[in-house]
Parts: sequence; C-alpha cells; structure tokens
Amino acid sequence: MRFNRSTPTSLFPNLLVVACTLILTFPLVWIVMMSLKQQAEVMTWPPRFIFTPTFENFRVLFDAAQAGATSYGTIKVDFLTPVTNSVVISLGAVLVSLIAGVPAGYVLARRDIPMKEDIAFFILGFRFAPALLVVIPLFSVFQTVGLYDTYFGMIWVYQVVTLPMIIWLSRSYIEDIPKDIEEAAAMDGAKPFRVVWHIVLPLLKPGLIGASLLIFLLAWHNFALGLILSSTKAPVTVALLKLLNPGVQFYPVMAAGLVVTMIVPVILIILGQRHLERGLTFGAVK
Amino acid sequence: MPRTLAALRGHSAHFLKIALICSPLLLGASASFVQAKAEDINWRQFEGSSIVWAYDIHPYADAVAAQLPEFEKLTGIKVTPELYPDDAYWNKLTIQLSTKSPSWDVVGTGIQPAWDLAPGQLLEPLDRYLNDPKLTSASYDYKDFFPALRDALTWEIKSGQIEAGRGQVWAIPHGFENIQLFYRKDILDKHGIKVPTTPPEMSAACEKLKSADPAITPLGVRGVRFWSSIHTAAISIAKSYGVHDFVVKDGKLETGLDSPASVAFHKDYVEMIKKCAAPSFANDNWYQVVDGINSGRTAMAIDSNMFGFWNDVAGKPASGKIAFAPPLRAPNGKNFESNIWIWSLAMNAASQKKGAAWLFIQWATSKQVELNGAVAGKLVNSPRASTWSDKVWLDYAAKPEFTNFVDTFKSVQERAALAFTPRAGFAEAMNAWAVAMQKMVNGADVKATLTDLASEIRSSM
Amino acid sequence: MDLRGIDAIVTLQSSADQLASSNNEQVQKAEQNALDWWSLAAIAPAIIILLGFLFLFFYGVFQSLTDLKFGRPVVRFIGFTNYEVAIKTQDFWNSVRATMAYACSAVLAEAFFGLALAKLFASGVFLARLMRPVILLPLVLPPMSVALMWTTMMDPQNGILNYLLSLVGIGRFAWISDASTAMCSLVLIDIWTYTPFFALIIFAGLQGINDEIREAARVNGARAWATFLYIELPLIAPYILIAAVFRLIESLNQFDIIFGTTQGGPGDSTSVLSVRAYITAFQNLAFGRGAALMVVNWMIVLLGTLAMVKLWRLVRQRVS
Repeated sequence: MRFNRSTPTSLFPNLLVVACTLILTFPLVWIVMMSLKQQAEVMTWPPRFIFTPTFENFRVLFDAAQAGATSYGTIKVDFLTPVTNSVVISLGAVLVSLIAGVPAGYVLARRDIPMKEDIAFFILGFRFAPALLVVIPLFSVFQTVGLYDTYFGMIWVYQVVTLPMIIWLSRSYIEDIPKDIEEAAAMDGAKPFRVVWHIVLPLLKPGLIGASLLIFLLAWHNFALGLILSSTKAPVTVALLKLLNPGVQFYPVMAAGLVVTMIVPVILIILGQRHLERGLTFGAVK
Repeated sequence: MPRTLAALRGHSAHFLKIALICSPLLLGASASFVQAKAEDINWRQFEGSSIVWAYDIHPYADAVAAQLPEFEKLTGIKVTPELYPDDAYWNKLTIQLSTKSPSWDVVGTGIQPAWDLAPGQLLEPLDRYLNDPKLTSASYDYKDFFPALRDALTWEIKSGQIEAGRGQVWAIPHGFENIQLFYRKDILDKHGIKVPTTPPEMSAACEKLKSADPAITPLGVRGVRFWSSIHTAAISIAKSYGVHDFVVKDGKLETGLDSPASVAFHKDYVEMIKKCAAPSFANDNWYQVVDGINSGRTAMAIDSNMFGFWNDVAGKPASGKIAFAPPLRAPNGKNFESNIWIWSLAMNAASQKKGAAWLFIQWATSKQVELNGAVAGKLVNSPRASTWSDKVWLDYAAKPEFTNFVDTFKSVQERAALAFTPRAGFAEAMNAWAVAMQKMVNGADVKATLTDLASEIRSSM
Repeated sequence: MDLRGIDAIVTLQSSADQLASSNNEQVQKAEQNALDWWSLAAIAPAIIILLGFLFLFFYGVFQSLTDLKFGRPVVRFIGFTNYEVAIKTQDFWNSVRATMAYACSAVLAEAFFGLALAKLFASGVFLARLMRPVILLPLVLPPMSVALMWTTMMDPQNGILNYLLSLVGIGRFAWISDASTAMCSLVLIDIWTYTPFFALIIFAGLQGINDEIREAARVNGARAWATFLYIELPLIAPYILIAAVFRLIESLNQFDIIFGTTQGGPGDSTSVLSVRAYITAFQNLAFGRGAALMVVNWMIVLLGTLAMVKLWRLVRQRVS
C-alpha cells in the first residue's frame, strides 16, 4: 500500500496522522477548557475558545464546606469521597485478584490437574456474561447478607471483572517463561514452592505490574456495579452522573469532575508506560 | 377512590381559603394554644447520635440546611444532608430503601413515590411518634398542617394496595406546590403576546415568539422519561380534558389513558410540545425549566409555582420579571386543573436511629423552621396554616417583586388537587406514560401509542 | 470496561500455545500422576470466588422465572410468563432491534476505521511514530466519563459539535435529544472510543507480517492495493475477527455509554436490552421481569459470539 512506500516525511500521511490525532484529542482538550471556564461562559454562543481560566470549578468539586450555587439550590459535591472510594475499591480488587488469581494462573499454565481445560474455559466464559444479570440477584443477596454499600462487598463483586482477567494474563506470562529454568532448579533439589517464590515470581514481576495496572484501570472504569450495589461507597463514575442532572449551568463543574476521573488513567499510563506497553502488546508481538 | 379525591380537593380548597381569610384570627388562637401547653419534650434525649438526611438538590433542602446549626445546638444530634439531583435522587431512594440499608435515616419524598415504598414496609409509620408525648412536643401541633395534605399522606395498606384517607401517617409535609403557568413578563410584553390559556393558544403564541426571536425557547416543560415529567404540566392539563390515570370500571381499577379524552389531550399537548419546547425536551428536568426562566432563555413554563417565586426574589437576575397564571386548560373545558405535589419528610423503616430521626423530622417541619424557610424565599408554599396566617410571611410574599404570586396561588389552590389515583405501582405506570409521551413527541401515532401504553399498564396491574 | 484488546490478544496467543504444548503436557503427566494437592489448593480460591458468581448467575436465571418485585412480600414461581409477556410487546422487539443495531453498526464501523488507523500508524511516517501513544487515550478513559463528555459536546443549544458544524454551514441538530439521530450519535461515541481497540490489534497483526512477503509481491509487480487486498488482508483477517468478537460482546452488553447519555430515550429510540432491564428492575422494581430481559440479552450475546467464533475458525483455517 502507498503508506508502506512513503518516506517518513511525506506530507499527506503526516497530515492524516495529525487529523486523527486531532479527532482523538479534541474532546479531551475541550473538556479541560470547559473545566476552567466560568458557569456563565459555557452558555454563550458561539462557544468561547479564549477566556480567563479559573479553578473555581475544582473548588466546588472538592470543597465540602462551601457549595456551588445555582438558580435552583446549592450543590455540595464533595468529590474527594468518591475518589477515595474508587481508589480503595480498585486497589483492593487488584490485590485480591493478584492473591487469588496468580496462583491459579500458575497452576493452569504449569500443573496438571483434572479438568484443566474445562476450568480455563469456564474462566474465559466470564467475559461473556452480562454483568447486570449477575448484579440483579446480587442485589438481593447483598441486602440479606449486609454487604450492600461496604468496601468488602464492592471489592468482592469487582472480582467478576478483575479476577478472570488476571488469571488469563498471568497464565500467559508464565507460559512465556522458559520451563527449563524451573526444571533445572527442581533438579538441584529445590522444593516446588521455593522454585516458584525465588525463580518464577521475580521473572514474572514486570508482567504482573503491567497486568495490575490494567486491571486497576478496569476497576476504575466500572460503573454498573457501583451504581446498583453501593451508596456512600459509590465509585467516582457513579458520582459523575450526579453532576450531569443539574444541566448546562453545572457543566463546568462536571467537566472538572471528568478531568479528575480521566487524569488518573493518564497518570497511570505515564508512570507505568514501560510495563503497560509490554502488557498491551504482549502476545501479539512477543 | 374518586370519592376520596373529591373529598380531598374540598378539604384543601376550603381550608386554605379559611386559612388565608381568617388569618389574623387563627394566628391568635394557635399562639395562645401553644402558650398553654408550654411543657416541652426533652430535646436532648438522643444527644450524641448522628443521622443522615437524604433529599433532592432543592431550595427546600437549602432552607432546612441553613437552619441545621440550630437543631444541632438544640439536640446535640448531628445531621448530615445527602443531596442528589432529581433523577438520581428518586432512583437512589428506591434502591436505598428497598435494600433496607440503614444508612439513610430521614428521606425526602412526595406522596406518589411514598405509595410505592410503603407497601414493602420500607417507610416507618409515624403515628407512634406523633402520639408519644415524650417524643413529640405539644407545640408541634400536627393539626396545623392543612387537612388535605395530612389526608394525602395518610393511608392504609390492604393486600399490597393503598386505601387512602385513613390509616397511618407515612410522612410529614414540609412544602407543597401547585402547578401553574409562569412567564417572563418582559419577554411576552416585548413581543406583544397574551398569556395563553389553552394548548392550541400556546402553540400559536410559541410560533409567534419563535418567529420574533429564534433564540428563545417559548415554553419550558419537563420531558425526561420518568414520572417526574408527568406529574406537573402533563397531568394537570390532561385532567382538564377529562383524562384520568385510573378509573373504576365494573368495580375494577382500569387505566383511562386510552380514552377518547386522552387521545384528544395528547394530540393537543404533543403538538404544543413540538412547537414550544426546547430541542433538549427529552433530557429536560425541572432544573432546566428553572434555568431557562431564570436566564430568560425560555419565555414561559408550566411547572411548580415556586420555581417562579425563587427567581423573583430580590437580587436575582429575573427578580420582578416573572408573573403567574393558572395552568392551561382544555379548549372546550370550563376550568383549569392543577396537580399538587407535597414535599414531605419520611423515615426509613430500616433506620437504627429512629428517635433522633423523628426529632429531626419534627423540628424540620415545626412552625418556626417552616416560617424561617418561607421568609428566606426558599421554603415557599408552607404546608402549615400558621405560616399562611403569619404576617411576616404574608408581608414578604406581597412584596412587589413577587408580582401576582399570592393572588394566583389563592385562585389556583381553589382548584388544585391531587390528580393521581392512590395506588402502589405509581412509578411503573407513570414512567411508561413519560416514555410514551417522548415517542409521540418524536412523531409516533398518538392513538396507537396510547393503546400500547394502556396495554402495558394493564399487563402489570 | 474496555482495554479488552489485551485480553483478545492473549486468547489468540494461548490458543496457539495449546496446540504447541500438548507434547510437553504428556511428559508432565508421566511425572506427576498423583493428585497434586498443592496445585488444587492454589487454584481453589479463584475457583471458589468464580463459582460464587456462577451460582448468582443461575440464581438470576431462576429469578427471571418468578414474579419477584420489591414492595411485595410474596414471590411466586411463574414459569416463562415473564418471557411470554415480554415477547408480546412491541417495546421488547424494539429493544432487541436497538441492541443489535447499536452493536452491529458500531463493530462494523470500528473494524473499518480501525483498519485504516492501523495502516496509517504502521506506515512509519514521522508523526505516526511520535503520536502513537495517543491511540491509547480513548481506551483508558472510563466509559462513563466518555459518555458525559460527549453529552456536553452534543448539547443541542450550547454544544461545541453544533458550533463546529455551523462553521461548515450545517444547521443545528439535536444529536442525542432527537429520536431520529440519537442512535447514530451513540454509535458515533462508541466509534470514537473503541476504534483504537481495533487499531491496536490490527496493528499487531500488521507487524507480524513478514516484510519479505510484501517485498516479493512488489517485485512481482503487484499494485499497492492488490498487495493489501490479496496478501495483507487475509493475513490480518483473524485479528480483525477476534477483535470483533470481543467488541461485539462488549457492545451487545453496552450499558455505561447509553445510560450516561440518553438512558434509553428519547422515546424508546436507544432503549437497548441492558438499559431496559435496569429500568425494569431498579426503577419499576420488577426484578423478575428485569432478570428475564437480561437473560434474553445474554442469549443474544451467546449466539452472536458463537457465530463470530465459527467465522474466525473458518478464516483461520483458510489462512493457515
């Protein structure tokens, strides 16, 4: 195709790249701009591109003492609580998934147990189940057991998303490690547990960091589970929806909230780019 | 059931008239009554506890929240308000209560949502608290609430259904509203438009306004696919066309939404929405209605009367520019109709701090708090007769910036009544109506859509 | 609920591994014939957690056969009544149609644009190398944030999109507030968000193609488009299909984006099964009927997935 033969500096493909980049980034740039505008400025037509930025919206977002005023009442957002909730739940979910999932991934990759392939398929099957069908009965169960609106309950229910993922990822990572290393160690008389702990795990570390970042993001993204199963422990995605209803007047504050929810994944990408990239391209370009 | 409703309306109109006319007299009487029974309850009996009070994002909430420090000083109970925007709030309330979660102690509700919550034993009946002299101060004077409002929040549950009028008290009113047409005088005057009285007149006015100034949305109405967009403009106008949500037919409850009257109403109403409402109609809730009238982007609105009042308050950009009129009526109808909505405080049956919760409900609906809220320009339409006979409030509401608020309130309240049939399953049926309305506004055939709607409602009865 | 690319790639790869590793397994079997208690203990926690969800899943299917409703203490088993009532209504079929229309049009468009994007970024032009991380951006944002972001931009009165259109002379229109454009607007949001997912996977596929093959084709005088059509496309077809499988499942189940923008409206124009189920269960408190709708949704997902996997197998056989 033409692109394959084009030199790195040919004009047309470069322009296309610029166009794609613009399409992909413009909404974000616009939201960041909106989050820095005053309430009155979002209602103007034509929309303004040049304005004096203000951090007022972020103050309204986080200030628990003083609320944001509108023409129909004041809105106290207290966004720090849902942000904290999301961090606690997501970190908890990652931790539980790692503890329960990595050993399972190892067994599925290296050990011979009955019905191994069935188990693997069963785990993969979780990708196909609509979350809501699990949540509707879960709602009744949480109600009777008292897990509704608790961190513990939320972390547990997030496993439906994160656990199958970490098992599959760690299984593939482990299959990637040459078996000879383990076998050599075993022949030297090391116990299986020590082999795993001292040899497999260090080799697995970069992969696990990447996988953890990924499933942290998955947990951070989740909306439906928190919407139905939590209230005061609601994650940040649910809190966002609360900012939508008051309408145009409140858009700048909502935009500020959007910036906060979006900045976390972006920071994660920057921090863990090396690990994440390996995770993202893993398997396809091994 | 229609009999109950008729009785209700009689009550409300009658009592308000009395209240308004004989106000000075009533004031004296109730004041001396309070004096006589001065011994008070121990307000500090639940000192140290802390409760959560959930409510809509609403000036009513602001009015009560502003006075919270006094309550905390009086009782030593800490109250945490949890406020949600309208759509989110009703969903949240249903979920929160049906999970029997104890985290909310006091909740804000209206009569209709309470119909759906009470049969599942999700709300605490309040009689026990009202009648306990240790828990309820003698000066609370429950009888001071307008009888129509008290009756509307009192019912019995029989095999999962509501039998209104007698039984237990499920919630205490703390603000109510009737549906009116309010409009920007400045805009209508500028374009020489007379206040419309029927949907066809409204459609014509809207076309005129639009051609004069395309930037203006002529009419602000709610349109979300949720019962909240039905209980204001739609049901009030529908009733004047002779539409009933439910009728008793051969001793059985039956929906009246596919009646010829209903078809006639919907044809006019849908036509009006198409010509008048904002393009974002389907996403508009009351916040957008208030926003529009406040900023002058909409010229008229049909919704709760105090939406106009709040923005007439001195210092607001629209102060003195919003005037009031009765809601639209059927072109051949003699009278307009106006639905009422009662914001009330109820107690979560799963609350673990019911004593403290009751003290809060009692305080928040007390004479003084109601009056303070009203005079702050927020807790308008107090449900207490004593507020309406209080000179401080009457003087305040008569200020020129509130234009014809008081007069219109009086004349509309004469005819205002609860337009819905008391029934558990309210939300489901009315949500379906709201969705059907959106479909018709989008061009679906009115008659066919209503037939589908009626059969949908029947299937879940 | 995205980033599924990784998962898809892993699936591809591990199924390939399964073919390769069967020999090793036999050796291993001989070594450890006794039941491996350590392994069982290691895998048990994960299995127990997941079995818990499986139980809930079947409990949900059971609930769909009852008239469970909040606000009513008695629950009766009513067989398939919920399903019968549902399929008799037009609204139900409208939801099924909406679900399919959303998923199919989104996946098709994303596959097409994803292919184009991947080709562009695989071309190795200067800016492409620089801008590559940008592709990831829409994928790492929470879908709910994406939904709300587009809601503000698609506002009929103040939205930036209407402004941009007015610059090229197109009048305002109501996007998600109008029944006739709502579905298209939602699909547009989906395309913006998930095209990079396709691009990512196809990009990996393109990199796997040996340069010599292309060179050989070029030397033989094949035109650029012919090289692409007859050599590259068959080679990356399995990648496109595996991405499509995952996206199809995702978009048939899509809830966040639709709930965050239209909540199924205006009218019923975007009322996909998952949103209808949520409203039935949690706004109208009819849990039994909501569960039934979800079961139907799940069936559609299952059928769609099976069809796609069949197709994928077929294509892969032809390729290899």
